[in-house]
Amino acid sequence: MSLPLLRLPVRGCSVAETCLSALRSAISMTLEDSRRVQNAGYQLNRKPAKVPIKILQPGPSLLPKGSEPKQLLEQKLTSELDPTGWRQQLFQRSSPLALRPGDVVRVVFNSETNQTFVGTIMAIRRRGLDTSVRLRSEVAQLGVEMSVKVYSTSVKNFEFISRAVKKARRAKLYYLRPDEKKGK
Amino acid sequence: MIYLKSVLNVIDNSGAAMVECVNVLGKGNKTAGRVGDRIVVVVQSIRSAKLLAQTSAQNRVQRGDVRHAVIVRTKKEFQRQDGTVVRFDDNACVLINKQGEPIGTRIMGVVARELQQGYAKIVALAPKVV
Repeated sequence: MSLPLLRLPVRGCSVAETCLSALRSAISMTLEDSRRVQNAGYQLNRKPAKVPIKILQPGPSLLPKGSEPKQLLEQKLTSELDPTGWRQQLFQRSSPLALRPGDVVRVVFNSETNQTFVGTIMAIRRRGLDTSVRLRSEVAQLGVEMSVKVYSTSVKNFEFISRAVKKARRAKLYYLRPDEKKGK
Repeated sequence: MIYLKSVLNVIDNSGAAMVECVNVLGKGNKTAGRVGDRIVVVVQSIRSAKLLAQTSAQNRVQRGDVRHAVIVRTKKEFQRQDGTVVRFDDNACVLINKQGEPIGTRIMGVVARELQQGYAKIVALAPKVV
């Protein structure tokens, strides 16, 4: 059985009709069948559902209309995780106490030994609650980098130690890393 | 990420200076070693005799020795449960025996806190833990 070539749609005749006529002649359907196909479109053999489909009504809204859930959540979490607001003071760009790349800072963690890490700020990644600071320090003649989540409950405090000697001309100081190719 | 052919610094006084990883133990096939993982290493270079004087003759390692080691620092960053990400400037290990105890008696340098689970002796010996 060879398939007939699909002719380009003739003016006044839709593409669908042309395709259908080609299909029809290819499989030699009866006129009745072809009418059924034409009328049904893509919904062939549609039987009524045995179990009626439940249509549920939407429940009462938990938030006032026009409110932004994401903003509300962020505000709620910020007030829980940072009630005094010192984190915002240190990491908001506009704040007068804002930390800048190049500053030396000490992080105190919430552990039994009050573990600390002192380092130069290499990068501040500002993402609201997900804000993190990348600190770099030389520990026993070895470079160590630590990226600390500012709003983490394991972080007790950030202590500012010293300002950058000269204002860094960059926001991210990745050049502080040793150059692998050259001799150290 | 430590796997076959990775070269690591040895930071104890066992005698070895640089080792090459041959196998990562306790992990699936082609899974890289991370801080706290046990590896099999081949000693590539040894330290000067001055430093070796502190270790006993039986513990001293030779070039070409095949030993076990535990990874204490990686250049590849690793993440902790609280979201802190840590990265060192080199890959380092401490040579251990089959029971998991360090061969050397001193550790020079920083080790990662992750070693607390299972290698408490190394953490105790280390001058600095990050």
